[in-house]
Amino acid sequence: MKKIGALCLSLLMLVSLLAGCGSSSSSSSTTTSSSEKTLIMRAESAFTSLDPANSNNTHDIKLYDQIYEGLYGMNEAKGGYYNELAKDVQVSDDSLTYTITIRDGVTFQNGEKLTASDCAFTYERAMKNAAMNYLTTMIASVEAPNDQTFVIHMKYAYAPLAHTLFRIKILEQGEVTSQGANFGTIPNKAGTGAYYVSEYNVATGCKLSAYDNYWQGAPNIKNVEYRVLSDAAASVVAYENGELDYYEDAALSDWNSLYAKAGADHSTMVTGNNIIWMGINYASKTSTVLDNDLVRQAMFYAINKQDVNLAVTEGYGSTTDTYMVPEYVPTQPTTGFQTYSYSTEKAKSLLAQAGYPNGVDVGTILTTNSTNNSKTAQVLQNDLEAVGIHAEVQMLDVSLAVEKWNAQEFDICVYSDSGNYDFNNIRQQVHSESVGMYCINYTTGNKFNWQRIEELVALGAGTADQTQRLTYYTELWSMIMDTATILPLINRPVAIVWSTRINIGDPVPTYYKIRNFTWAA
Amino acid sequence: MSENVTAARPSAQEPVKFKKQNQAKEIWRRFRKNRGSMVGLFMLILILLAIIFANVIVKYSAATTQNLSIKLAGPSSEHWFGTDSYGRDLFARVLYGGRTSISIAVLATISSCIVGSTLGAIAGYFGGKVDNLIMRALDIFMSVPDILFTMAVVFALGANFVNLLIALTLAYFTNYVRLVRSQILSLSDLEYIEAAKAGGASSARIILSHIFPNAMGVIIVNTTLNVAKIILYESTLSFLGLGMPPPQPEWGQILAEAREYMRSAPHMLLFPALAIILTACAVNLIGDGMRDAMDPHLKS
Amino acid sequence: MYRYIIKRILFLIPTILGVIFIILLVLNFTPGNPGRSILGVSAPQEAVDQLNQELGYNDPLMVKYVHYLKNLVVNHSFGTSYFTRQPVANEVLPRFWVTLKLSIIGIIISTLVGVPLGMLTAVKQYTAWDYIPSVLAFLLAAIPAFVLGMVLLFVFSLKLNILPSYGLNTWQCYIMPSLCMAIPITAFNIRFTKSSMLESIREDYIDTARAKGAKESTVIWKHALKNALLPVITNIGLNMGGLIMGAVVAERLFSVAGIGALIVDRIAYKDEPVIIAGTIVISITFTIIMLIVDIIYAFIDPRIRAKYTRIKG
Repeated sequence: MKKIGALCLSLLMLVSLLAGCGSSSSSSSTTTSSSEKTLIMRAESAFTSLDPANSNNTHDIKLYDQIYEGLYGMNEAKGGYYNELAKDVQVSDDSLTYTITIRDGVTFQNGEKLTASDCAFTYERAMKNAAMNYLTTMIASVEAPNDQTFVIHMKYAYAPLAHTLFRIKILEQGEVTSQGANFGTIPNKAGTGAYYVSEYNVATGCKLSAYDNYWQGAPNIKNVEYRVLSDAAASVVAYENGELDYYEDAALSDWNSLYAKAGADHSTMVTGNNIIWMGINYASKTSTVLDNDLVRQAMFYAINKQDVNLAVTEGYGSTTDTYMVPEYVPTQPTTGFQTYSYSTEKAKSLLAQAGYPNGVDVGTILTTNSTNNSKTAQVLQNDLEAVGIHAEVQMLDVSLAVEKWNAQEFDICVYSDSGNYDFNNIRQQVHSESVGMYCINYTTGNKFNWQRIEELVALGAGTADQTQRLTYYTELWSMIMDTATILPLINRPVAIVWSTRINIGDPVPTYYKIRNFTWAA
Repeated sequence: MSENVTAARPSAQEPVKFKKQNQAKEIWRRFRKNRGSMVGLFMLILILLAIIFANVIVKYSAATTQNLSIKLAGPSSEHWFGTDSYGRDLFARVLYGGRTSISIAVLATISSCIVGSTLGAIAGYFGGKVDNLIMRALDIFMSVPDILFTMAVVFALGANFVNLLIALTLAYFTNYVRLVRSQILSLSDLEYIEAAKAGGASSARIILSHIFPNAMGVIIVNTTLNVAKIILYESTLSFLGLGMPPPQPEWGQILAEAREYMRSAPHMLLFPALAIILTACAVNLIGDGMRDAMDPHLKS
Repeated sequence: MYRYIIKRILFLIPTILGVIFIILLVLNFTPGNPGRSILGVSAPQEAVDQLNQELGYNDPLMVKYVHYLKNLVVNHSFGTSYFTRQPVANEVLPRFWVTLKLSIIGIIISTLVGVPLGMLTAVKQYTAWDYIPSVLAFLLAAIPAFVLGMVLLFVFSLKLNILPSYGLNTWQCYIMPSLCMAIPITAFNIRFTKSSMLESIREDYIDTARAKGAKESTVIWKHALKNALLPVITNIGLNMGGLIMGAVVAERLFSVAGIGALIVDRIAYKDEPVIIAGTIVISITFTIIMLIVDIIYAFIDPRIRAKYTRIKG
């Protein structure tokens, strides 16, 4: 009998463990019971914060775009920035003062009216946030002389301010202050967008409810749920199973089966606004052979960009010679510079000229361990090997890779960039005073005419005349290509499939707006 | 089965060896009779032969040279297993990948065996405070998930052969500590060990020449079974992105790359998976067979 | 007996102390920092350094250690995550329950299926009842976990469309991840139970029982089984511990918000508070499970019980 008693004791302990499980039900509760339909969206990783000033992650920004709005909006389908919360933007003659008239009739999700003081509050808050530094560093101060007018004083003339006006999302002063340090960790109604967060769980995702007093009209879809679905292969299955309504940046390796399920009316492949490029650190201390111009040129000629395209995008993408995608960046030069078309003979002859007829070891290709980057790195390694240039591949977590790049502690890098709408974005890579990421420091050893490079960057940012800017940028990009340090490789398309339950309007690669979606009849 | 009764003289090496030789023959005889084990042995020998003589069958460059225009091609007369996602010959990759995977697994097993057995021997033989300290430290160490150590080692030192070896040893040495310790505890009581101690033999000598040979049986069986476990663990590491750096082939790495093409080109997943399954099966069959063969209760 | 239990529970304290220290030590040597992961690639280095300082990440090891312990003991708090800036307990505990639920289901399945099958193969050795389950067990034990998971995903979600492919909204969502975790353990249970039973059947006292005229079924059920089950029970406990971290693959594949995936994801971000809290919770659970296993063990086997109650004199 004692035995049975002991057995019961242990079973009891086990059951109490289980009972503990029951006490905490997961917050991603069922949605299927409600009669209202819910749009199921995919979050490829957890949303770390609901505070739009806290994250520069594209995937977080996609969420913020449904909830908050900036002075400018972004319309990728129709070429760029447009007035959103700003009714009118006046720039002073010296380009140092922006006077913005705020749109009337806009309310926040908590009912408060949008005023210029909310804008001032938001911008001052963003200026103190290190994550927003690259967007606000050119702003000297802001003020709100009256409810309808918001003024930005610049430290220097900066034509590409549009991106800042888009990225800084206006928050309701009262709500943010009252939530204090909790802002971003719990649902809020501090935005002007068409949806507000009704439930938020870091681990599983969030739920959005429609804001029916949205200034552009109540959205058709009332309930949205973002669910964390980290695995790409599982996402494909989820879509085909009907468990996911809108799947963007879909895995191209499964495109055939996705297309077969979605059909031509519910799928599309849009040119993506992204680029993968290869960078060579000519001043690398661990691989001094990279200082040799001929070696670098040989390396560029050895690369078969079509191979990279096949490996990374299954051939659905395109090779490219430009730093940004001309379709989205009107200021991107498209002619008038070196392109290094694939030629193994040229590569080998340059190598021989440089004094390495039997090949050379050029060090390590450093990249992040994302699939696209690692595939690119492997193809590069193989192409280089084919002409006798030997390189290792090293993949690190993004934060580690970035620190090495910033400190120029690498030999060769594979870098991917996206979401740029102005060629001035190149400043981050080529200007020695740029804050944040740059991989190649053009001032080292005074090898290149870096003064002219930086001068051209400033000239390009200093004027709003697009033709003039294009001239400056053509010279700039031509200089960069001559240095044989950056080689644009490919541009990936964005595959989008959506369920027959919805219509999505014009498909866009990145910043979709759920308020433009409607339920299919 | 003539056991030499004069084995009770521990100071002389020959009697012990003689007994061991006979035992070994007996164990082999029982092993041979077990059909499953022989199948496993046969499979393993085949796999090892293929891997060792890989360079006779197909060149290493076939495993690393890409040809993207024929990526993900199915099996054909030119490419027996088809090609992978970079157009490399899959057969070559699986063959050479076997070298990496199996050698890491074997070496990691051996090194974790050595480290773990030494610790276990020390704990078991000296007993008392030393034993207590080692076992309690081990308990704490085992509380930390081994994936943590593995990831930390790979992040800190980078992913290459040696570092993976270190990481795997750290993860698996704990298996042996308990095992060897309990063997020693049960063997230490035997009379001839006491006699050896009385005879003045040093502790190290006693452990190495008397206790180890007898514990060897259990250790060997566990080692073989662990090889299979480590092969599978390697593939999980590759799934998490901690595998060997490219372009070196490795079964787990090929599997990780094949995952996204599982539906469009299942052959890329199938062949390395089969290789892993067959090798793990073979090793397990051998391990089980050895355990049965060494079991004193088995009626022959 | 109770003194033994209390001793084991008290040993949790040095275990936790040791675990925290080991993790801090190990993470000390890995590169990376939370500041960079939070602020993103475009933030200036000074901002990253400042954030790291604010989070307490730059403190020396012993300072972090003491601070963490103080927080745990005095404030009953696991601290704040470096990465999400939210209380660790809010993140770790719900995810831990999820993994625990999956693991318990997995253990139940693997025990209820594996042990009886193992017994069957042992008792009916050398017949079809032996060969088929054994071969199956071998094969299933040799499949890499994520291959198994993907096969399950494709068969049950895609082809047959009867199970959801991700998340945990409905009870059906629990099936595939638990299966994915349970199948290798089931295979192991079959083989282990079989060998344990065989060993037990061949013991001398079984022959004695037969010689004394006991019925074959009594021999099997009363004598052989009891002895065979002891190591099997121990293994269940050990499997449980391994299962919790082995859940990483299943969690990643099926997008289940479990503790395994949490810890693994946060290692790259060096989110020490979360990793420590997660590991502490796991090791406490593991200790409790092993304790339960040992108690069951003691009450089934009088020899072992005698060892534990020896102290009472």
